[in-house]
Amino acid sequence: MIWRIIILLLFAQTYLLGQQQTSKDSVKTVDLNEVCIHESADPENQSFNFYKSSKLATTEDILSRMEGVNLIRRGAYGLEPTIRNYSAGQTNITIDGMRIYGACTDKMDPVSIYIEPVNLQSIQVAHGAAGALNGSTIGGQINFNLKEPDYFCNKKLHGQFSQSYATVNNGYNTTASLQQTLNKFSYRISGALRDADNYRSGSGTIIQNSGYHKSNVSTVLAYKIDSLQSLKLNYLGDWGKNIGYPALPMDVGLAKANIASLTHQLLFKGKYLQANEAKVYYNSIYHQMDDTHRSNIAMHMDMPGWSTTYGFYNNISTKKDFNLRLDYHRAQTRADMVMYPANEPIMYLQTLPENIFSDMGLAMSRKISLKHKQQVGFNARVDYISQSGMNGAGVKQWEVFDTDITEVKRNVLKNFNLHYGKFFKDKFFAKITLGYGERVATSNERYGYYLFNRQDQYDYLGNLSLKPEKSFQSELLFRYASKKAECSLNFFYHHTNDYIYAYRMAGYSQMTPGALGLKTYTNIAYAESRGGEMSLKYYISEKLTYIGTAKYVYALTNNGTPLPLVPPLKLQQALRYAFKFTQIQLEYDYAASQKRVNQDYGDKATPDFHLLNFRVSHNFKIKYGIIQIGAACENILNANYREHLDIGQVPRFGRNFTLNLSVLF
Amino acid sequence: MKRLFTLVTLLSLPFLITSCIKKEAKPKETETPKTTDTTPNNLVKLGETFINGAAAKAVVYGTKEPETGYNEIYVALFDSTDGSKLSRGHFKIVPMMDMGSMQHSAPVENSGDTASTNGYFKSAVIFSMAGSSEQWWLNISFHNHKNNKYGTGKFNLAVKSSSPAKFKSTVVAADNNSSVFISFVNPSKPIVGINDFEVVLHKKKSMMEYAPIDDYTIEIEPTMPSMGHGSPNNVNPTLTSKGHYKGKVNFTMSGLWRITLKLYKNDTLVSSDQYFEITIEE
Repeated sequence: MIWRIIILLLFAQTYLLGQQQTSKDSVKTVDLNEVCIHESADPENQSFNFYKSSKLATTEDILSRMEGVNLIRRGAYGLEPTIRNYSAGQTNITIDGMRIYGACTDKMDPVSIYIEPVNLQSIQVAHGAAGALNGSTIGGQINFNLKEPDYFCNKKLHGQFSQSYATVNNGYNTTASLQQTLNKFSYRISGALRDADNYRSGSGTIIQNSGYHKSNVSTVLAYKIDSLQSLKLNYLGDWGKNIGYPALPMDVGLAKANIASLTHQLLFKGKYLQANEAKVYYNSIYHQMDDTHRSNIAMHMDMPGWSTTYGFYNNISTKKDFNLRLDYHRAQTRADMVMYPANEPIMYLQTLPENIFSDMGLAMSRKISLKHKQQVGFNARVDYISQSGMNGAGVKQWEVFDTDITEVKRNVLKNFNLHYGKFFKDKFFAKITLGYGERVATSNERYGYYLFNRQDQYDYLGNLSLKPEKSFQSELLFRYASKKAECSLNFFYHHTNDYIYAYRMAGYSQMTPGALGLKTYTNIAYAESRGGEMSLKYYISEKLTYIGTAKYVYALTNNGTPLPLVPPLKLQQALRYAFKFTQIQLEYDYAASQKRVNQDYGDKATPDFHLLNFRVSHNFKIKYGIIQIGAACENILNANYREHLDIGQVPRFGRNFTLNLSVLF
Repeated sequence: MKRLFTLVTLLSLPFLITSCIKKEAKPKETETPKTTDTTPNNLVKLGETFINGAAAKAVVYGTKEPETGYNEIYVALFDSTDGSKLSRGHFKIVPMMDMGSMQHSAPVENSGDTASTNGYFKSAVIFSMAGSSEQWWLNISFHNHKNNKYGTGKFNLAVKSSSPAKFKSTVVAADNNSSVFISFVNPSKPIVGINDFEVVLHKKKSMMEYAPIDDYTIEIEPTMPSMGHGSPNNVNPTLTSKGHYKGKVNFTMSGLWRITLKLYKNDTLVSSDQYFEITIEE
């Protein structure tokens, strides 16, 4: 059924584009080229649908407006998504369900950097243990689905070209895509080039080392075996060069990612089974931090990192909303530090000793609709995870701490999630969710060797014997939907035992020059977090739409110490006026100040800020397609501001004018 | 693409849930000198001399070319009439330096053994300065138990300056202005990780007499000079025998390390500025 809807929608879209109808709906339909079909069927993802339809939004813009999602910022590029107060190892960030591990020990390469709006189909965000279908988690998951060719449209060649310019950093962004379906084969290829210089903050200061250069290619080749089966070969390549991270002591000289997968999709004809999807995948990431563009460097330093992951999954679903998933992946990571002192031999160590992380998981989910408009859902996942250090320099380094990192650490992780929901009078919906999730220590947390953390200026040593975090979670959701308005309200409370937390190792000294000491991780008794998200979409008139979201998190350790990097209250509102081929949008963002900080971690209080953005776009019909011109002014008030999750208190963009020209055919 | 196909092929094989990691082969233990006339693989021939009066010939080996600091010496003795190996006797080395206006000796460790071990009489010489083969020589005396005859011999050898320095000499004011020699023994093959650390201390009593120091305590502090950091969990060397102090030193990365020594006598710090430098190759 879902497939049919998708087919219809895709067809409608193509048809309307091709025919260039001028009916009232066609404005929306033109925008629909960028609207995600899966997502439109997902009422929980209003903000994605809304913001994705703006041609000028980057992946990070869209992410930052999604429920519960915040971004840790280390530079103008490579923002790391977090869910509520959960980051990195506590969440699963995947592309098409593939696990990818960053090669950078400073988290400069979150998975989201490989996603460009031009290759993005949809983003699925799941909070807490509810997001554990693809992997054990306590924080949730963000899955990016890559764009696919429109298998079912006619044989016409479709494509687009888009050029944008931003004044704040002299940034050029060029994207293009082509797609076609030829009998049994379909393909889609898209590319993006991004170049930017150092940007200017609201105070007019040029932020040094903030420019970047990158290119991205995403290709998919699909083959329809018969009416029920198809094969899909995906390749995504991403190359970054001289990417500045003003918040960190080093930049990225070179970053390379090769991400490939082969997927087999099968639909069943019978009564019970719905579909089966099997995927094998491979990705390898290389990342090289360097400091050659920095001044006042005592000694040149290289920090290359490698990450190689392969895996598979098989997901089978029945017509009664039952899903069964088996997956496996194995990741091998390593990071080196090489220093070149003047007139002295080269210094070398493995800051992340080479190690293997392997994970075999079995997951199921079931949704049952009961009478009286009630529904019950259940999902569960078990993972068998093994981690071990590999023989090499890292093993010898660790002997100094009387630790044998080749010892294999095995953990069985359990995740459960149960929800009950009920509709009241069709418009109201209430849902209660109880969940339990676990997550294992990351490679950095286990094997890291004097990893420098810019935020608190400490070197970090891993702890081989960390226990998994275990989180008990409850969520309460209220939703109201009518023709005029859609509103949702979500509250959560999470209690996480054995929370992994850093403390100072007394009597041990740092390695990094200028660092304040050495820290390591331990399991503290527990940490708690609570908060909520709210969203309201209101159709003021046929042409005027309002959307507003609010998010808030309050998180503490068992001692009452605030957890680090917890975002303050944030409100994001937008008013959109859409008339025929013109769209005007005014955005207003507000973040409260954050004074509840974790001083041990180097958190600093962040003042509140107000941000105003204005966007306008207009579409012109031409013979073979559409030309879209867009312009925006971001941070109209030229506020000198930063968000609480911005590392190193580096101010963000000042007033920025952007121009965009797109051709769609 | 090629990688992908390789991957697909690989993936069709059964998955290994856990990886088998082979333990690295243990480094070969230092070969003990073999009882042959030819220079053993791990030794360097320093010279040879007839022991006049004892009907013997001494062939002297070291573990390296002679240099300032601690030098292990292995001496093979042969019957000068039939060329057979001599394994029993009293053997002694005295190093000598001719500086023109004066002569002096250097600390030496003669085992006093009456039988060779694996065909060699072992001793150690601490060359206290560099010098040419006209300046340094070794006096060798031997009481041959085979024929109960006593004799001496000598041969000259050049001593180069060890680099980085493995020998330090300092005047310790707090110990009656004694000249104290600090000689670096181990680690001779430093690695990243845990290393045995060993130094030997001597006190100069006269130009010809040097005595091991057995009443000092030593603290060590390894640092990387260009980064300023140290390493954790080192074990300060303690006296084992005859001026030898053994402990553990840890290196957390490759590169240049400096091990600074603090010497205490009767809990009083008597020297704190002597150090040895070590380079660990990548």
